[in-house]
Amino acid sequence: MSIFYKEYGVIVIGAGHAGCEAALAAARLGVPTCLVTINLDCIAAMSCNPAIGGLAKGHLVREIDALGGEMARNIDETGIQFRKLNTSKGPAVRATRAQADRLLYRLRMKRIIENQPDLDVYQAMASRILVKDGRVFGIETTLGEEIHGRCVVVTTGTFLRGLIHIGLNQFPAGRLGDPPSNRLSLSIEDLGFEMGRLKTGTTPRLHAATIDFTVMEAQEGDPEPTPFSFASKGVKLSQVPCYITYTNEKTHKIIEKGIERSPLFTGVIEGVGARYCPSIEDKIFRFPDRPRHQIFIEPEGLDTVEIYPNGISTSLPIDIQHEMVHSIQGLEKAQILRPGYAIEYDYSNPVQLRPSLETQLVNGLFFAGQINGTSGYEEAAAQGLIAGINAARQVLELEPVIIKRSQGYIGVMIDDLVTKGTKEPYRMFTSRAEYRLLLREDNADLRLCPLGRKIGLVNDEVWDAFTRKRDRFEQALAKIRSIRLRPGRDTDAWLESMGSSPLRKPCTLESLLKRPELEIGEVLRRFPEFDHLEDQIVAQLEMETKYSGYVKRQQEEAQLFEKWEAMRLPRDLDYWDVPGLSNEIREKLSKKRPDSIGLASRIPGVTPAALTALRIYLKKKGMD
Amino acid sequence: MATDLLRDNDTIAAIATPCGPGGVGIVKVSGPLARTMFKKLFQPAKELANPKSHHLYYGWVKDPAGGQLVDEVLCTLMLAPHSYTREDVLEIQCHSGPALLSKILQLVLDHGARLAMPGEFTKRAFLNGRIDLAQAEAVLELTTSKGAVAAAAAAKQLSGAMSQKIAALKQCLMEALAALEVAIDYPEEEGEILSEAQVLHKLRNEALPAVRDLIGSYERSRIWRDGATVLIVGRPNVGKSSLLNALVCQDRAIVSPVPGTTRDVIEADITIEGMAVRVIDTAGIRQGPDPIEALGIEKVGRLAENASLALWIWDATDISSREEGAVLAEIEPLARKKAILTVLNKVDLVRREDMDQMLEAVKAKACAAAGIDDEVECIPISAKKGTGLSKLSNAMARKLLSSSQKEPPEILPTLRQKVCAERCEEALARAASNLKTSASPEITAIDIRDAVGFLDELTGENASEDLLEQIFSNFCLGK
Repeated sequence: MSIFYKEYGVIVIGAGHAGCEAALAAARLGVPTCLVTINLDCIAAMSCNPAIGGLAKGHLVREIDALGGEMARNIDETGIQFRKLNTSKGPAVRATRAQADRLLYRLRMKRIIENQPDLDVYQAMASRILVKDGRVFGIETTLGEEIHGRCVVVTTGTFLRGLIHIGLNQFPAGRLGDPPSNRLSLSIEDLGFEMGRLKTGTTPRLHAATIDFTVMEAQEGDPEPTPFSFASKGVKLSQVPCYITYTNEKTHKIIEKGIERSPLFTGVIEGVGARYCPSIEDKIFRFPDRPRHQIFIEPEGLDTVEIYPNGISTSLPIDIQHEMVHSIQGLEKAQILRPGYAIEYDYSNPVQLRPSLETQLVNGLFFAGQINGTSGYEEAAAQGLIAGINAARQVLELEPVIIKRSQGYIGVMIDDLVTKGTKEPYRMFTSRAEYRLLLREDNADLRLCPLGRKIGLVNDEVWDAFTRKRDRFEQALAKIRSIRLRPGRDTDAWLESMGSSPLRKPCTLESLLKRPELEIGEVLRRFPEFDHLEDQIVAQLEMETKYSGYVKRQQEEAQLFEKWEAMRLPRDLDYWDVPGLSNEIREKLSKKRPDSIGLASRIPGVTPAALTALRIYLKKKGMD
Repeated sequence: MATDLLRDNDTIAAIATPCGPGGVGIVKVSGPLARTMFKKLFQPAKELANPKSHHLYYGWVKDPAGGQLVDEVLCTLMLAPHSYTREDVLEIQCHSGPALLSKILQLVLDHGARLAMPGEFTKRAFLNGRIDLAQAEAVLELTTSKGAVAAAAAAKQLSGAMSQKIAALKQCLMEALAALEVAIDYPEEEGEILSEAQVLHKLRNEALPAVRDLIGSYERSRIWRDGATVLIVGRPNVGKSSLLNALVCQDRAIVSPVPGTTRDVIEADITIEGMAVRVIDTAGIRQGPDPIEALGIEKVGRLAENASLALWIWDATDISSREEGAVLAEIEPLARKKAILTVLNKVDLVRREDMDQMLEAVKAKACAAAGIDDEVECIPISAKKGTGLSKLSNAMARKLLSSSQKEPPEILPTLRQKVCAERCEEALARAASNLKTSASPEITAIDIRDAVGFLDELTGENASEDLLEQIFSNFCLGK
């Protein structure tokens, strides 16, 4: 056994999407950081589909960007197709999605990490978390080397006791082609963590030259791609289309034939899969009436023939995979380059975490990403960023940063995880956010950039651009409120041309914009003062006018919510001393040790009466 | 969300006196709206520019919507911080009786208050520093134990039929919501998802009628829940008090041959075919009433607004048409609804062979006076001898139930449940209107979520997690 010659503030295990954000954030805050990975060639690998963003996930990426994370900038530089989704719907549910050049994505991230001051990367496999007196002090690698550090962030993805299934064949792996991390999982369990098993899967990859694209419908990206990062000027790489094809009755028959050798249906797989990310065999058995299922044919990069057929994730035997692929229109001659597979892995029930993502059991130990039961690059990156920030802040002896549910999707996700836990891979949906109208892609910077600046991850250039943009928004809003319109032939004709009715009396532009039939962009075109206003500001103006009633109500609700979040509960509160609580609730609260009355209220089983009892107790003890 | 239950800066209201008979009932309101409610709902007997705190004011509770007076009351405003809860508190002392108290409580709720939870006034008193530690422990006891009892009671209140209806309604809303949410979160999915037009159709044709039916059943079950009020009216000395006495079999009023002896309204609670019926003997009604009697007559007028039936008593020894106008004026709202039974009293004093003719004559006169086209029933009785009373009871029951349900209804919502259902309806109406004007689905979703929230409040469950369940069991999603 040896001890590594350098000591760190923060050690990050795993260099996936969570690990990269965690390590960059910690190092950028000036804390000496070490990023440990099994394979230096796989930093920021996209193990599943080559895309970033989408509904709710795009929101997360924008929030990561506003806080000073890297994901948005990375995809902006390496994206090969950008699309805005839900453009016909309201601003709150519009989202950005981009196809990535998989290779360039990870190379760019690797470069950023390699050039980051205060950040070392080290190829090693962690085998043990080193803990003394309830506090972490480093890790041990499989080579018997100890690396010491004040805080450790574990972002191991699917690697903990990873087990791949292809048909009834199974073999240990962290991802196809990479070894699993078995000893680390046991070490975490030994520390007393309650572990569980989840399952995810991916599709076979196909050779582009063997695909007949002419029989498929092309799906082009937006003519004017919108980047994710508020700081990006535009998109760099050339943009390419995706294609759409479908499974058919024949495909479904082939799948049914293979079911007796499916690890999913024969009970070989014990891990719980996500309902929203079903394998093709799952879809066919759960929805037998559907005659076909959509498949998106996505390029994996500009300089590769590999194609990702999104929609046929499978763990069926390899012969069935070939046959199934060949039954699909346009894929009759498609050559599989890599098989589809399912992977089972260990996760730790996230209710064992504090909202800072530090574990309750071991001080200084943080978990982020799939180890917490989530799925998705964006979910992982968001947690990694928060864990990295909070690990660094602990080293710097600062209070942890906690994003509230009313502030961002990041807050919604982490709060869901630490209060309710999860039994299946957790994915972000916009429907999980109760203040959805307030948490938009267009205002992610307004919501979180000031916090990012305060934390120290937003540089002067980005901050100046942000404040200028905020000013432009406020000026535009003031104009909308001050411009007055009078009834008259000219105005009436204009309103009529937009399918609206004449004015009965003079009104402000603001009140005109409340008319449901009017589209804000179209209306503002009449006024030269709004020329060259960016889309994000137009969206913000739309929320402030057309949807102001609903926005105001959510703001009020959010304020009330924040009031309860601000009502602190001491961490050392003896719940057995609080009269009027049931033993069950005492146990729950003692286990969770919520920071606030608000958080306590969201722990399943905690009743309003129990909260009253708590408040009365705090008042009595003068702790409120 | 549970945090909704933590609200403590809004206005709460409750009936503060025990259920059941009692002389005085109190409706108590605490919170920022108390003062405006005093101004809006209370009409003082004397002109009142600025109400003083801790003063007892005499006047009436009026319904600002229709302007009619609900009851004669004493009202006190106790301004913060010198009140029990240290908030603005309004206390309305009115006549007792479940129907009247609910009516006043309903008015208060309509003007922005919500029903208080068990122990909530005391909880606020404590949290606002009004009561001491020893009392605090008692509060805790109250909140926790009563909360449990209340929860059990709420669950009990939900009859099988009602919870089935609500479950069906909620399922319908969850389907609508899931369709909207899927369209939001999975914009690229093909087929199988309900269009917005289909969601609108669902709301209009399934959800809204169901929730309106629930609200309607509160009105329809009013008689079974609150009991019915029956007025005994007629010329002086026709035997109104005797009839009341006969009905309750106890001597409640002084029976005297001198006209106008019965000055005050005398009432008694009886049971007719399982229904609670409050019978009220009106003040003697004479032409040219003196000042004291004027008050009694006014009261009868107000009682008639809320009563279900009038028994119009005629004297068999003198069926000449006199003073019908005065009698009718007092029961006008009931006459309009044809909620009248005529009763021919003192039939023991007339010849049997004249009876039929007399009954016909009374019916004709009553119809003519009241302007009713079809037949009015007339029941011959002798209050003194106690004859014809069971026939009268039957006729009363028939009449009372004709405007209500024959059987005790399957669904008997409480006021709290009705309030939840009404809020649910409002939210659904907003959702429907948003769908109609093609508002963005996340806006409509807020309204449907609200509607589901009010249903959850009604049943006491919380089902926000159900949504994803609904989505993934019904839609094949994910690439």
